[in-house]
Amino acid sequence: MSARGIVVAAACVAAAFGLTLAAPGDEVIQAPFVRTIPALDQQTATREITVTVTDARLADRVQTPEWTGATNGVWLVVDLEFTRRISRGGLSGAFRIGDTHYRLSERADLATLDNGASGQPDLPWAGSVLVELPLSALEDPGATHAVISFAGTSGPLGGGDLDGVLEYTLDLTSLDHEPSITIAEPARVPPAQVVG
Amino acid sequence: MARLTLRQRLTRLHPLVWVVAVAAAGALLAWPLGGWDTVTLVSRTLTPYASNQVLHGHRFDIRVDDAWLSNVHPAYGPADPEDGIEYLVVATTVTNVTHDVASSAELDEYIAPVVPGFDPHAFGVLDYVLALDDSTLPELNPGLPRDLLLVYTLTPGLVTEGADVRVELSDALQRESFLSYGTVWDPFPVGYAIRNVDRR
Repeated sequence: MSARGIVVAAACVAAAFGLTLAAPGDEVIQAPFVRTIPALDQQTATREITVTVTDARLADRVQTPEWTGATNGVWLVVDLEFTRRISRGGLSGAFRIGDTHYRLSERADLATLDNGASGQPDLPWAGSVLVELPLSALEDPGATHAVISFAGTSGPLGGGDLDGVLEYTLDLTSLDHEPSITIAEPARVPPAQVVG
Repeated sequence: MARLTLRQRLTRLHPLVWVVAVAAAGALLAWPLGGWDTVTLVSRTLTPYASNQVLHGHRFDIRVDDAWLSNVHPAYGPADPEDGIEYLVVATTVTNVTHDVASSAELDEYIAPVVPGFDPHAFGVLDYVLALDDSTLPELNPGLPRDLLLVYTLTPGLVTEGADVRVELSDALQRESFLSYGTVWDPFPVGYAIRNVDRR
């Protein structure tokens, strides 16, 4: 093998490594398609769901007819309506402040929208989702632009990939902070009352 | 001048070239496996933790507050006498100190009582109960301290009233997953708590 051949082979190996480094990873390739919910009471859609955020508050305690949710931290209560668009199913969600990720609470069991509702296409549901946060989260520099995300239960937040996610940005420091909030269990919304 | 064969060219290479080539080949193999630094030496010395001491781990802060025997499950109520079971309840306070969500279901790798004849990792022997409202399997959001009751279902007699029960405590280190993108935690034992159990 000539010296030129060795140089060409080395260059090919180097080029292959360069391509490997330049190629996007699985995480980027499978990232969801994000749409932003611009404001309260504005319906926004992905391929699978539509969501309208109707209110967001903080509370020291959350109450349902069958459950009292005390906490060592603070509750974020987000009221919303959601509709499945193409198939029956539910809603999944997630929350983040900066690079810190939180799971929606399942302590209230079926009293929350992400656990208690499973809609047929075009039949809207209304209810609340809960996030249990440490008190220190309210003092995080990212608390002014925290993000709550929604997707279908088979979508990116529920274990699937390559589908749409809706994101709504919240300023936690400007929300009303109440001693106690009573949430209603998820319920179907009559068409005449649909927001958005 | 006679043209050299490939074998002759290779035999004339400086030994240092061979060393560099072998090291480079090793590096290429190690790269997809996580590099050279995949083994972290940890101390084999286990530290005892009193009920007012917190194990500050890389993933969870853990305090073992108390332990007791009971015939009443904190979430599901009294055991049926015909079932022949009782419960060992280990009261803990756990805080997720990372930036990522975790589930209480992952705690069995970090907190485990040592009871001869009992496997705390067996399927279905452990329930995680939130002391605040007796709900089960709560999420462990970052920074939020959780008062958790770890409820182990035992055969009566494995633990006797008044006995000392040793609870092994583990920390964990995070590494890149070999099988998919993302990271995994590798737990390793770092301490233990001994609690005298009464019956409640």
